[in-house]
Amino acid sequence: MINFIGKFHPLLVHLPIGFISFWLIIEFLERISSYKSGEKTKQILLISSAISSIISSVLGYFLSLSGEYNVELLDEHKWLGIWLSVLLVLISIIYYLLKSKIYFKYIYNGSIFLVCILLTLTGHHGGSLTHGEQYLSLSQLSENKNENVVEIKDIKQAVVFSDLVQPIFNKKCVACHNTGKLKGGLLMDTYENLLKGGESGAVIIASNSAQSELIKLINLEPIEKRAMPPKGKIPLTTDEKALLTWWIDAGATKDKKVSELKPDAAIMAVLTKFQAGGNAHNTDETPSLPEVTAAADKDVQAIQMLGANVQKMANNSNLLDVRVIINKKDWDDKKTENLSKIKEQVYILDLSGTAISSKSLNEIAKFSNLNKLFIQNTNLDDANLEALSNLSKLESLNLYNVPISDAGLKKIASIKSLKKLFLWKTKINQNAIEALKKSNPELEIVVGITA
Amino acid sequence: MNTFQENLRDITRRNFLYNLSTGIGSLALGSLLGGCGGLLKSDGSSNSKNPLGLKSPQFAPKAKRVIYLHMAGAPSQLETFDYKPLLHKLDGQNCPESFLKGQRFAFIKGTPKMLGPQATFKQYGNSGAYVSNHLPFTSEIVDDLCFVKSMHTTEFNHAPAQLFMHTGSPRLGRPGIGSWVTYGLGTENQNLPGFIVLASGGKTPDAGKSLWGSGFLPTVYQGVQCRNAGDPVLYLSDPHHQDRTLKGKLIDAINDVNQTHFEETQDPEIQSRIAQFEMAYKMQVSVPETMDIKDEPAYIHEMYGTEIGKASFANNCLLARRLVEKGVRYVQLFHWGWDHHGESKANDCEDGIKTRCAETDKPIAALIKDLKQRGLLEDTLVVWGGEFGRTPMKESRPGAPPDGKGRDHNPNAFTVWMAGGGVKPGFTHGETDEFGYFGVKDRVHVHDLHATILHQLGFDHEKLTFPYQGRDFRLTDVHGHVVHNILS
Ligand code: HEC
Repeated sequence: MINFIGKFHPLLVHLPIGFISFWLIIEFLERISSYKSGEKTKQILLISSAISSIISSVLGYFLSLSGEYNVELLDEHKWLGIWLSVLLVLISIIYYLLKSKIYFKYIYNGSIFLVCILLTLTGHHGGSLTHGEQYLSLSQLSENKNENVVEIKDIKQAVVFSDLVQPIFNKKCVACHNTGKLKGGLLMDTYENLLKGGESGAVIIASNSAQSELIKLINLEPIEKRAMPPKGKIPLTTDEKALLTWWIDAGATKDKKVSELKPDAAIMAVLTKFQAGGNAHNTDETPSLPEVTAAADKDVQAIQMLGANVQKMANNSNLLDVRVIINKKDWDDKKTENLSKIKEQVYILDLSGTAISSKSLNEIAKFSNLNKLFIQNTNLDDANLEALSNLSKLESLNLYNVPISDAGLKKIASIKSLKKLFLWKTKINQNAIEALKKSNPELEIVVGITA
Repeated sequence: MNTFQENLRDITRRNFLYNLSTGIGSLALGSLLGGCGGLLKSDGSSNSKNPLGLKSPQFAPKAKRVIYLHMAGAPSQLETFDYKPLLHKLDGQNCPESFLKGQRFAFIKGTPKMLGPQATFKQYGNSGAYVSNHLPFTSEIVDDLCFVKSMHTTEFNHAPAQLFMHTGSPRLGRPGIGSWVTYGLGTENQNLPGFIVLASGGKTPDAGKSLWGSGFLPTVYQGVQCRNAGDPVLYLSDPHHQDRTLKGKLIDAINDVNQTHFEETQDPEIQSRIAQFEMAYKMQVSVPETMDIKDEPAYIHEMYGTEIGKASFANNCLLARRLVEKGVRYVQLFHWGWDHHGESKANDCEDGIKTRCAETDKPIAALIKDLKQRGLLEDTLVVWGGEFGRTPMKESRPGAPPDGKGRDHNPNAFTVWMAGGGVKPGFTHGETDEFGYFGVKDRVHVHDLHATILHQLGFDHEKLTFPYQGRDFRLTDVHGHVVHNILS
């Protein structure tokens, strides 16, 4: 409950900001022109600012209990907010009681000045809390070279520290470990500073990742107090951790290229993911799926009524996994036509063992996001297979026990996105398969045992 | 306010006492208090009326199905996959004191002797994985397997360790992985149970049928054991002279009554009951059809080493493939008889293990190859392993032959392999010390294995929960880390 109320803090803080700004504008106008506002107006504005900022502070406190924020920044924001509220209450009282005193003008002007400063600082800290400290920082103006990291074309020629390691630090650590911040006394902006270490000494011990404080900390579970980056920040991915570990074990060098450090096959597999287009920086938990709009419930239900299982790929995705599992022989071309209503959403389609003919392929060819297609154990043949070449996202195609021949294989070979092809029990000659393997070494072809 | 609480308000004192006196009410109340929420909370994506209806995972899964091959009794890692040349040299010497300090053993007393590997090893495949000479067929598929050499558990006796391996707790009463998985995902084939168990090797595992019980989850998620011989499921065939359509009508009528009762009480166990009646009716046709392996071609029988009508692990492997092919979510195989203590020649780490390996090696390799050529291995996760490992020390219990070659239970290190379902093929994770006694690198706890299995199926193991007795329970309790390193 408290958590929920707390969520209104970001909304409500804008009230005191509005009131205070209005009050400041009036004060400003009064000073540069002959304009005079009523005393009552100012009084109302001051009291409204005070009350609304007290409420915001309380809500802010509730929100802070959720523990999702950077503790130090939060602390500063909290106290600034509280002092601002206190100041506003004081000004309201002063305004009411001391208006007639001669020294009132000095106190009042001073307070206006103080409110300006406190408001700016509180606001800035609040913004940093929600949008991150890098969101609005001066260093961006001068150092935006960090932002657009050079794309790595050939991983072997990349300099390990400057092309691979430092960009990770820039993205995930430097926000807290820079000259302005210096958390734990550790600077991570340059190689030399990094090696100097932090409060507790060196954090990197060349050629010994197991003893390196930095590696220990990045491998802690996020809930642990000393885990780096701290809970709530974007964690390092498994590949990034592997890279950092390898770099230290290989001597934590500054200028050496990947090829000079003689990576073995295992680490090479990881490193290639850092090449342009690789996915080393994607967090592990959420394999990225293409985004599509949701299919209409009634269309989905209609297809389910026909006897297919239709199910979302995941709770957080609108893509669909469509499979005909029981009464396969009742599924024919007519039923396939009904799938056209969800043509954008079908991600996996299993029509194996059904009674479809090559006509169904025309329909399937329209499934723009189709990733896996199971049409094994059907009576399809070479006819119309070229329709499938429209499937620009198809990665896996299962054709086992389908009487297709070399001519059919040629048509399939034109599907550029294909990564896996199942061809057990087809009429394709071994030579044709060998030829395809040669021309497309990335493609994994499974042929199975020979009966 | 959820339906359950509203429902409680309807139970007045008078009504409550009346129900108590009839007994049924009190039972219903018990399970109401126990296990609501889970079903009622289910998101709109599922057909919430049918507890086995399909449900979407939390994130895009790599695996849709699981085949778990449990070698009950705990095979020795030292005679199968964990090659320790140094142990040869120590064969027959006294075990160093440091090994024994602070350790509890199931049987070893005093200072045991070390026992060298009772098998020869070679490297196979592009991955160069070591496999013992007992497993010639497995050696052909190592490039499809992902070995975890550094498994460890907290239990050193069979029954609790088996329970731990399957339910995440050494005590009775928790649901097994298969139950959690069917609870989370439902079942793809509405004519077959989502969780099927096949046991071979002459005995069911020590922990018994609790290994596939549903614990506090609604009982629809319990595993259904199919027998090796005779009717696969007992009492499924119609009695003589009973007409199938009549049976159908009977079940419809019972279900109508049950449905009315469910609407009144919202007791999920009634839904279970309805689903089970329907399932049993459909299984009358679907189960005999699926379990009958006569229609498999000769070369498939040859490949698995199956014999029609025989009860064997090989037959179960073939059945496992047939079941996942039909969309069964979780197939659990047990093969009993790996507890090689060395009290007799037939039960030691030389001959005993050889026999068990011979029974399982060919069918397992065939299963992997067969799944692969059918394209099923991509989204079927296969797991092989026991409930713990075995000691590098020789166990000589009183009365056993002095030259017996047995090993005691070792919870500190054992090997598990996985295949398919998005784990790295041809990969080895973790290492044990020079004697295969303790994991020394990248240790993986049973909870971590569970977290990883659920992750492959699209679940954050911390978020697949069921409210019971006032708190949310999970398979991994309060532990478990996904082993990202083995995921492709
Ligand atoms: C949200 C701010 C924040 C981010 C982001 C962050 N750190 Fe830290 N770091 C800290 C704080 C605060 C400390 C001091 C903690 C302590 O003394 O217990 C610290 C301490 C450390 C230390 C120990 C220094 C010493 O000598 O005690 C290391 C090593 C470290 N961080 C590494 C990293 C790495 C690597 C990253 C990026 C993956 C990172 N940090 C990202 C805030 C951060």
